[in-house]
Amino acid sequence: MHKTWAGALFLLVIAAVITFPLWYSRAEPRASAPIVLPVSGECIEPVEVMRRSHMKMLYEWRDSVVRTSAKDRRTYVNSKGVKFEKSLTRTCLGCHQSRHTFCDRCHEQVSVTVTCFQCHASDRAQGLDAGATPEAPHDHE
Amino acid sequence: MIDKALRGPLAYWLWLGALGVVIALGVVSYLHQLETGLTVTGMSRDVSWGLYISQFTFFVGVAASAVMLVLPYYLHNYSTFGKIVVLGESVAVAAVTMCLLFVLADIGQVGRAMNLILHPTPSSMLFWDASVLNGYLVLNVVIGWSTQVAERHHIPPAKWVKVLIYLSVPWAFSIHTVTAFLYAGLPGRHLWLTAVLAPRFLASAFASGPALLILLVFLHRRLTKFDPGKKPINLLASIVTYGMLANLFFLGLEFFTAFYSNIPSHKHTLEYLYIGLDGHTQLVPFMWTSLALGVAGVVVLLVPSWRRNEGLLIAACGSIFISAFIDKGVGLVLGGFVPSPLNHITEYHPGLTEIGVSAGIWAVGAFVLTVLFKIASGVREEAGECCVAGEAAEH
Amino acid sequence: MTTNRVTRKGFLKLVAGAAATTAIGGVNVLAAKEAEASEHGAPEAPTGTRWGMVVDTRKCSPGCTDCITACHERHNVPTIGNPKEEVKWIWKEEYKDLFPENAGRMSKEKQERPLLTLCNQCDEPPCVRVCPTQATFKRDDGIVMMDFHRCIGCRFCMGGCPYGSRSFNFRDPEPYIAKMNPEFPHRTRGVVEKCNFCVERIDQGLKPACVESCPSKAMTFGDLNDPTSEVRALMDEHATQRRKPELGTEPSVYYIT
Repeated sequence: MHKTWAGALFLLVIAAVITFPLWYSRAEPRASAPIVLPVSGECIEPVEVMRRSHMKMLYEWRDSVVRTSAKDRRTYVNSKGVKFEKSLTRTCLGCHQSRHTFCDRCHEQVSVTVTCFQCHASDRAQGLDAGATPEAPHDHE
Repeated sequence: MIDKALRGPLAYWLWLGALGVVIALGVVSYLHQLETGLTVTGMSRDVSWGLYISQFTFFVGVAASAVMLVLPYYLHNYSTFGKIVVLGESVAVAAVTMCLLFVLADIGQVGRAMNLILHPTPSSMLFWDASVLNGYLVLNVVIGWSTQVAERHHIPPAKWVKVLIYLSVPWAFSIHTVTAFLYAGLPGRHLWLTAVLAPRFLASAFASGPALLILLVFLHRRLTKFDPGKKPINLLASIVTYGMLANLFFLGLEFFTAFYSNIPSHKHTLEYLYIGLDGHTQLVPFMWTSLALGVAGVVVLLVPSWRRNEGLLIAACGSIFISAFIDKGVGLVLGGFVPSPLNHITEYHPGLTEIGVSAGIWAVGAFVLTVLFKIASGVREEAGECCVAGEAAEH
Repeated sequence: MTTNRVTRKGFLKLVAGAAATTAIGGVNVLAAKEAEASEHGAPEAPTGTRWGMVVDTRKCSPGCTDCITACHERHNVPTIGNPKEEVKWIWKEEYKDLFPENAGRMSKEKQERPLLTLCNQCDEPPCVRVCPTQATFKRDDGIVMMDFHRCIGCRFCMGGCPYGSRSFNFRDPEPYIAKMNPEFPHRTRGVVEKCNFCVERIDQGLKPACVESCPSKAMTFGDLNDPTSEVRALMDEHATQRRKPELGTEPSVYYIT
């Protein structure tokens, strides 16, 4: 008798834990409207293509620019034959300006972490955060 | 069979609990390291590998030493080791687990560790080392498990297990040889650039691994009623003796080549380790302690009446284990970075976080070892071979 | 009476076997793809471009660090302040430490003369040989490249380099970069870095920042495989030496001492 109740309680707790993400977020207001991103002019590829494959494109750009040595490797020719420089900082952010107002908008909502900005177009590189120069590290902590 | 590890006396659970606390400490330390970076260790631009890699190097040897039991028992049907082969394999599994954890702890961008698999690089010894270590782990787990299941049911192991066992013999030699190859092919590091490095690694492994096993068997005997008898212990002690003698011999060979040839780059590191270089003497006491412990241990083992005295045997095994740990871990790995390629001397001492992570990994090894020994002990009891060798108990 | 029921053990064996087969097959497919695309170990083309440098140490002004500043500012190299963890792409070392086998009976002045030290961009780089992920690799024009995206920070390359040319980011370098150059990314913690021969400038036909910035024109950069290049002319005219040539690394940096 006790075992049945204990078992049922156990199952209930497990079910609650497993479905936590589903019912917890219902307590938070959801974004009601879809995200509208700042655009100026035309993107290098159509929006639907970019939405689906921008990461794949960035990886291809990265590997061809860093790892190959052809003279023209830094040039991307889009589906309409227009040439662009393969650069996150200069081409993508040249139009979309800042990761905070562009990239992060979707990434934060769908909980995607990208590591690009650890090195590229970081806040300081964009002049956004002066920061104090820290002390030299001690020998041990 | 895991059920054998889920039942035990209070002392067993308290011990696992204590290990759990140390593991938690290791995890917290590691999180700190993840957050801040490897600056929390004592490593530097000149000494780019430290406690993590040195312990990894040492424990690969301990893992490989299981072959010293497997080879005579399975390959040559030398039945003396029958009762303790599974214990040797358990030590191997625990040691390899520690090795893999030490490597992970040392990686700067651990989130990218999959790159080792996504971009395999046959020219890199680190790629091969990672591969053969994982293979050795799987091999020993499968072999240990199958032989235990067979023992439990009083049947010989399945035929395919024999194939894996035969495979594990050259594989054990290979894991430590490949680890030696990490060091022995680097053109700028003259302490390591020697053909005798792999044999030295193996000799030191075959001294320290069985020494540890002897200590563990005695401990096991005290905690359970399992006594394999004097023969396997004596044989293990002989292996430790020969291994340590070979290790000391190889060390002597290094000294000869360095000082007879008089080539500065060959001499410098040995001078740094044993006499001090340019006033830097931090490691000198460690190296002489290691030498003294190693020699003392081997002397005790060479005198038959001393070797047969259990107290002295335990002391000798302990001192040989510590000697090999210092020699390989501290002397070899740290010494190889001194002097630096630009003739500078940067010394190293571990940071608190580094020690915390290492302690956590040692605790994981002890945890795995405890569980595996408990399972082996449980299987032995169930199979009716619990106590003194040759006597079956009534259950 | 027999039963067709699958035992739990049997099922687990099946799953494990399927997973293992998939994993092994997957790795093989990935490895094959990687082998095609990899630049690793590209054989040295004797007739292709082979970038190199000649450093005339006699022209280097004492106390001048223009090349170091130019390089480090351009590439966002951090100033850590603790010599144990310092990151440097080009710096000065004393003659006796660069060429210890030569320095024996020379004057103190000569022994302590500062010489520029940087990655030697070897023809046969040990760092490339040991890198387990090909994060460091050789381009076919001779430059030993770093792919900071792929580096896992194992530091095997630092052990493999016989010249001490490589630095590791023991902590996040960003706060230690005094002046951020937005034209070039900085690195993150946990990766190794070194001089890249200004590959981004070379690709545009420019010279490396250190060479351009030197007020005494102490450094000359060019194609070692081109017999009419300036570097070859200097090598013909002067006695030059390379660091530790007996190690078989074939460095591309020549010193006139």
